[in-house]
Amino acid sequence: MAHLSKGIDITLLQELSGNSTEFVLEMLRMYLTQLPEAMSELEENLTDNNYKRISEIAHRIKPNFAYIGMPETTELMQKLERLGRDQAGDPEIKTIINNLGGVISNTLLEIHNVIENLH
Amino acid sequence: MTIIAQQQILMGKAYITSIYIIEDDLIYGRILQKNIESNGNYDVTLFQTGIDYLSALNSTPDIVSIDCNLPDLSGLELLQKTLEFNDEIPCIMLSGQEDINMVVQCYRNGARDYIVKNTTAPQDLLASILKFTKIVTQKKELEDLKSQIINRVRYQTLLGESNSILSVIRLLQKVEKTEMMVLITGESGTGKEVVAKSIHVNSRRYKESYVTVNMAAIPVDLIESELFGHEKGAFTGADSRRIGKFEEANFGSIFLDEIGEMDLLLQTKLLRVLQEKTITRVGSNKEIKLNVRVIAATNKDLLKMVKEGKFREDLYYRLQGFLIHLPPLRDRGNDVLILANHFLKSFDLDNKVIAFHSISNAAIQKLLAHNWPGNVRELKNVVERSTIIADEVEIQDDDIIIH
Repeated sequence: MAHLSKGIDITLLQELSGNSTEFVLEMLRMYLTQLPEAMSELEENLTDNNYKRISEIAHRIKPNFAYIGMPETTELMQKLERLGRDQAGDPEIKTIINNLGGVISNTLLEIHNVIENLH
Repeated sequence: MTIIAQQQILMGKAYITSIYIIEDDLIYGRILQKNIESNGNYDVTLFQTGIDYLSALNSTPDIVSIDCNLPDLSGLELLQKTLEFNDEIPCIMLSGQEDINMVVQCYRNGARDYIVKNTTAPQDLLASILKFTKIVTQKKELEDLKSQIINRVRYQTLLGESNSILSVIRLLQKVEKTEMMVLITGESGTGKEVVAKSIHVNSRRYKESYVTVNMAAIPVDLIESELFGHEKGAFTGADSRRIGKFEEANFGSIFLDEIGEMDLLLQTKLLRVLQEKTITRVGSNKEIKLNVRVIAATNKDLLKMVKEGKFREDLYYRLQGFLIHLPPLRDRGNDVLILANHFLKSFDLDNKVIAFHSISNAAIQKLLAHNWPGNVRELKNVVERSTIIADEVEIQDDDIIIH
C-alpha cells in the first residue's frame, strides 16, 4: 500500500493543533491504543459474521487515517463500510480486514518512531 | 491604558461559548475539540454517546455538534431531543457521507448546518461554529443589556470601574436598605436623578410610589400647594381638593431635585414636615401623618448657601442624613469609554439597528481628551448624535461633535 512506503504524515495534526507538540503526542498515543482496539473488534466481528457491526466500526474509524497521512486507508475503510452494510458476507471483507492488520501493525511502529523523534 | 485595553473595554465582557460535541470516535472527537479550542473563547465538551450527552443537556450548551451515526442513539434522535429541550440551540450535524436523504432529513428536523467528515471537516465545523458564535454572543449581550436596564436602574449611569464611582456604588448599597434621608450632590448631568431612583427601587419601598419634584421647575407661589396639597377654596382657583406630592409619595419615596432652589419660607415648612412627619394641606388645619422617605439633590454648594444665609442650617443638617457625592465625569478616567459603549448599545437596541456600532481608536482618543462639563448627560448626547452622523458602523473622530 502506498502509504506504507511514505510513512505516516502528521502535518495535518500539527496544523489543526496550532503546532502543539503536546497535542500531537497526545493524539499519537491515542492512535496507539485505539487502532489495535478497532482491529480486534473488526476481527471478532468477522469471526461472528457480524457484517453490520463491521460496517459501523469502519465508518467510525475511517476519518482518523486521513489525519496521519493515510487517505488510502480511509478509502479502504469506506469500502469496508459499504460491503459490511450490504450484510451479504462478501469475501472481500475478510481480505480487507486481513490486509488492514498488516497496515495497522506497520502504522503503530511508525507512530512509535515519530513519538520518539518528537521527544 | 493601551489602545487594545481601551478596545476591550468597548467590546465589553468576553463571553465564553459552550460547545458540546457528540462523537463516538475518541480520536476524531479530540481533533474537533482541539481545533475549536485553539481558535477562540470556547469551552468544548466531548461526549462519546448520545445518552451521556442527553444527561448533560440541562446545563444548556450554546452550540451542539452531533455525529449522525452514534452507537446508542441516532443523530436525528439527538437533534430532535436537543430542539425539544431548547429550540434556539444551533445544531450542526456531522456525517461520514454526503447522503442527500440524510442532509434533507437533518435540515427538515431543524439542523442549522451539515458537514461531511472529510479532512476539512474540523475547519468546516469551526467556520460553522464561528458563524453561530456571533449570533449566540449578540443574544447574550442583548440579555445582559435587558437585565441591566430592567433590574438595576443605577447601572444606566453608574457603570464604571473608576475608584470614585465604585465608592459611590458601595455607599449606595449600604444606604439602599436603610430608611435614612439622603442628600445627593454633584455637578449637573452626573446622574443624581438616576441615583435617587436607584435608592428607591432597591429599597424596601420599591413597590410603593416614587414621586419626583423639581423645585426649580415650579413657580414659587404654587410650590407649597404642589408639595402639600390644598383644600377646595384654599385660594383663588382652588376649585377642588388636591393631593400634594408628599401625600402622593406616602409609604414610598419623594425625590426633591434642586433643593437649593427652595425659598427660605418653604424651607421652614419642609423642615417641619421632616421633623414631625406630618403635612397640612393648604387651607386646612388637619395634620396628615406621613411615612415618606426623602431623597434630595442639588448641584449647589449648600454649605456655602448656609453661610450666605440662603439655606437653613438646620434643614441642611437634617437633609444630610447620608451624603452621596457624584464625581464629575472628567474625574472618572476610562469610565467614559464604558459609558459610551453602554449608550451606544442602548441606542442601537432602541433603534433596532441591523449591526451594532463600534468606536474607532481616533474617536476613543477624542472622547478621552474631552473634559465633559455636561458630564454623563453630555456624553450620552454626543454618543447618540455620533451614531446619526456616522456613515459607517464604526464611529470616527469626525463623528464625535463636541460643542
